[in-house]
Amino acid sequence: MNDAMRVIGLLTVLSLLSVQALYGQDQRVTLSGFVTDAESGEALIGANLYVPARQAGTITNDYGFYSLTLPADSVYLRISYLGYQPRSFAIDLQNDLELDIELTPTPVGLDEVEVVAERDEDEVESTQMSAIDLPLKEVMKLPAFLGEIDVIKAIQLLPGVQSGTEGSTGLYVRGGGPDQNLILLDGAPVYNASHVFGFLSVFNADALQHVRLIKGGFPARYGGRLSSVVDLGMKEGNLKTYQADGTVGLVFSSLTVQGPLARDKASFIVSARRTYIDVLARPFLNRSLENGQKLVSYFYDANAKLNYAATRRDRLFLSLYLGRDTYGSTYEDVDRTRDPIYRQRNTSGADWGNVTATLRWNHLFSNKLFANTTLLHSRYNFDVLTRLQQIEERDPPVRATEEITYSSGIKDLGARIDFDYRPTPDHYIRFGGSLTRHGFNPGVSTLQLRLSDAGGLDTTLTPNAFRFAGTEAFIYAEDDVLLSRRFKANVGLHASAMRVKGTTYTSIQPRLSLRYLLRPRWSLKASFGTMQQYLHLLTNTGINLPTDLWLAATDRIGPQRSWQAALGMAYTFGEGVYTASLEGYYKDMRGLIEYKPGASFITPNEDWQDKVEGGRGWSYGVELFVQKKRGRTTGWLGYTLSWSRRLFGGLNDGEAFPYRYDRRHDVSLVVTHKLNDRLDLGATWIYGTGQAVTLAASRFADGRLLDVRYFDGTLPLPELRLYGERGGYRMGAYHRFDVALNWHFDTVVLLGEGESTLSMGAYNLYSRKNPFYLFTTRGPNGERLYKQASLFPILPFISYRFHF
Amino acid sequence: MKRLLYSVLMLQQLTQKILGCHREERSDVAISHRRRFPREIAAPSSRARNDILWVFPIALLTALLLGACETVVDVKPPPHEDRLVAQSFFTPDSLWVVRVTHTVGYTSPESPGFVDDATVEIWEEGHLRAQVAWADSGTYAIAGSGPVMDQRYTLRVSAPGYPSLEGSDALPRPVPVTAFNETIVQSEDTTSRRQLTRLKITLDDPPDVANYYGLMVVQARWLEDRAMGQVTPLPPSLFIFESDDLALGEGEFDFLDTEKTLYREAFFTDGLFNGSTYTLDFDVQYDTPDPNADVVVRRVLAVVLLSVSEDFFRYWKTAGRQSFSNENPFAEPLRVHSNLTGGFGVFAGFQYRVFPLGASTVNVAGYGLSDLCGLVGSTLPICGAGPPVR
Repeated sequence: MNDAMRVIGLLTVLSLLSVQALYGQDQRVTLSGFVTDAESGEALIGANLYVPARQAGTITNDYGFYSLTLPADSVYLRISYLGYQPRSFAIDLQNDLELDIELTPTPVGLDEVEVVAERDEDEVESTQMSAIDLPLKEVMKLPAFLGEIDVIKAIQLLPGVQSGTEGSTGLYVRGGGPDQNLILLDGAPVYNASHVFGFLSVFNADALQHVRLIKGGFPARYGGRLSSVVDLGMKEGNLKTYQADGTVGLVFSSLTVQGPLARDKASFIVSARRTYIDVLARPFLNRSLENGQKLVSYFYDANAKLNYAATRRDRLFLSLYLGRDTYGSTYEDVDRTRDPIYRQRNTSGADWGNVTATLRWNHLFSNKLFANTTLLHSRYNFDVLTRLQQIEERDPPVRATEEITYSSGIKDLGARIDFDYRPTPDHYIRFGGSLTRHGFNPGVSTLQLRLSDAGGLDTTLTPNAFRFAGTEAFIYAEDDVLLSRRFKANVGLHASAMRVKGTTYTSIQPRLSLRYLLRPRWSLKASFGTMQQYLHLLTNTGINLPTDLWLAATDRIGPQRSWQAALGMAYTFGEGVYTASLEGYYKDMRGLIEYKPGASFITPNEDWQDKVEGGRGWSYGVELFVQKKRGRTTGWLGYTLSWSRRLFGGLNDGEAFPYRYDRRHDVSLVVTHKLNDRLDLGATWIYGTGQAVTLAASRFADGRLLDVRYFDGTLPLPELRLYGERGGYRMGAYHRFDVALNWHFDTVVLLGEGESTLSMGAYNLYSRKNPFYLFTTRGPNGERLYKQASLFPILPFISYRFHF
Repeated sequence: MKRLLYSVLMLQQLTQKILGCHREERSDVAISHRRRFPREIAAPSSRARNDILWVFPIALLTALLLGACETVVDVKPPPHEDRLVAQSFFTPDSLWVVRVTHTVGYTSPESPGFVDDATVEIWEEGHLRAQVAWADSGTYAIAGSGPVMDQRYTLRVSAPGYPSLEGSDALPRPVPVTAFNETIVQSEDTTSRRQLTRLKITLDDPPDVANYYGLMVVQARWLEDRAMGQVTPLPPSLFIFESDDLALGEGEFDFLDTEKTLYREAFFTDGLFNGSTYTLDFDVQYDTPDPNADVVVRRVLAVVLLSVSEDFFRYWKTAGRQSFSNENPFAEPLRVHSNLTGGFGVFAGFQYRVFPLGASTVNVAGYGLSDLCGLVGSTLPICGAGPPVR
């Protein structure tokens, strides 16, 4: 490992030296600017700019900015972006030039195959491997669970990613755990990304501009998690015109409004979703309720963003996200036989959710140096409340209130700065740093006792000082350097540190990605990187529950560490319409935690560190990804062959065992097809090897016989279950076919002309009884049986979307 | 506080129930233990339970709307091979008693049966210490010199048709009790027959090693029919005690009834008081006999404090937890600890002290603490008042 770090350090230095050497060459000028959508003014991320004569090009960054430094000359520049009409410019480039470019979306009806760009900075050209940009427009056409478009579930259709249990929004990437994914929403980490116990993700697809998954070959700018980065960017808001989008679905209804505050200068977007299952269910529930019992149950989320271009060189973004799940009940008992009348009012409930806020400032220091400064706040909390209020109806009334709360969660306050520096087309240098203050609350209980106006007792019941804080920081530098026409490398270093409870952890993480062009449309890629994660998620359920606790590494339980190496090949064919990649990877993970046998929940009297085992894991596999990006039919085929194992000294007799989500074969076929301008079809078929579970193989008599009746036959011998190897049994294979038909039609209402889409389809079309879990039970004659529970049969859905 | 924790746990468990819509099978032992809970301990309020259950009703409804749970029977059971199971708990100056049974496949209609043709041997430092003879159904016992301190003993069991099993253990240190105190708390309600007794046991824990302890309250009971002049012994059993002493660890999970945790038995480590003098606090409550009733239940209570080996502790804790836990399909199941190879079970040493509760020792002609042998003697060779307190 140390040798690898030295090599990567050396490459970094050489790379930077070569940048200096270039300054001695002939006169160079810089072409720079922003590439935006002509209709909305939104930045286009990853748009390609290419100068064929020079065989030089670049791509726009996350804010649409590009910078291309070339020898002074007349140049012919082509700009292309998937789903947009490409543009070309002939420029007499003798001096530095700022050129902002607008691209127009491909009109409906024009076959996109006709507008393929000459050359893309695509999977073949890029040093980045193990990364996929989710095509959001295509995702909108795919069949969705209950009609709710869910980007996390779309990510689950990519090779190397699994969902865990049926219907869940969990992400298990290349054998890693659900806590090992860095889910960033406009730069702020989201700690619990699901509603309704994991069935729906908290991300509103209408509010998202881009979604990118990185599962290996992590660039140095990312850190803090072992297995993946899910980078979600919210739309910036239309700078040109007002626009409204909405969805009426079975679970949610949502509305998104955006528009200019000052044309081409400032814009806003507000998007909100709320469930209405509670409203629909109320009449049915009220029939069964007594004593004026009231039930509260809903979940919602809202996004908002402000975008302000203060000057050409300065732009501000303020992003907000708020989402909550709330469940609760109140009821009242009244004793009218007493004098005075006595009332007892009971309230109990739970709610949980995330709040994130980011303020970002883009600043162009020069036409080569771009900076983004971010201030961020993220909070996840889970609260339970029980309140008992006793009232005697005197004059004035006498009230006694007892209120107990339990609260757990995590809160981040942080700042981050990132620089993009593009001295020449052969170098793309990024560097920056981050500082985050984490506040951990692994479960604090409070008691409040109040008697009328006499004040009361307010006590924190948790005996230990459970709340604690930690500070995490990192700096990084990376260079995407073209070493020769065929050979390109991304070399970087990520250095991080965490200080918590008087203990400081540090880590130097080398990152290296290499690309070698075998032929114009073939490339060979390799990557290596180490990662360190200072946070642990304590969970025993295998499903996403709000009771899962985020905790920090301590002096006893160290951070999680990993290294991952990957080797792959990328190929583009059919005039760039198809891309294919084949990757093999090996990932080693240390410092993993699992609950000790029998431990399941940490009460305030207990130290979580006593209840967990530390261990390691490793996973390896091969992933094939073939994507068709253009044409009437688009989609992808993903196949993964993988192994994932765990080894814990205190589990499974110290023997290695398969991870619960070890899946030997995983296939996903995703297709959208445009029948005509009005109709399109979406379909997905997925297949996966069954989960590795532990089953009781036999029974034996308990030896703790503290009752003589066991020996005289009065009581049957008590029995215990004897389990086989951990994860030694495979559930049946999982497969499912989903289909959707989308009908687009014009609508005219008060807001004006618009387009509507009616989507109908079915989840699990052939109603496969997929295994959700296995359990044991008794048959009609008392015999023991194994049974399989399945969750969802065929589920039809319908949803209506509109756009004005 | 406990009610609140119950809410949090209910959320976790209810979610799993929402997702898992099958009826869980409680293990037989759990049912039988529950039956034997003395009902003197207050019954849970059904309203209180409903209160908690109603916290997440729409979550249930949501899940139902999201999809109906279906079950399919056709699941092939995992492979199984019958193995020997031996259980033996040994203590100084007692019989060697080994119980030998065998496993059965999980779905087998059979019960785990006794093995009566086994060869059972106790070895000591490479020498055969005792050939343990068959005594009763699956039970092998031999009198004579029992185990002594600082010796490691090995159990070997073989029987036709099964792989042999073997395992070793030694006696732990004697119970380091320095004081026992019993205080009867007089009720303010003079009409109540409920009696609360506060108990304290002081331990002088050795500092150099991890020590493991067990605490039980046992009762011998008789039914006295005054009119008929008859006394009928009832099966002795464990008696529930309650405590908020953190050292005792988790107990029976009943948050709703009392602020103190209820215990049927407590096995715990010296983690909170290693190397120091520590006083355990706990209470027992029971109803004294009605002086006007014709038929009364009389009881003798005694506190038993055990010093146990690590293998004893781990077996007892894991077996207890598995007995009382439902199978959670989303969590890894709990395995029962075994220190035997080739088969399953436990061979483990312990020492103990017995402290009779004086106030509860009701004179009934011909009966006394010796009847407790009938209880604990069946698995743990504990008898009468045990060795005197040092």
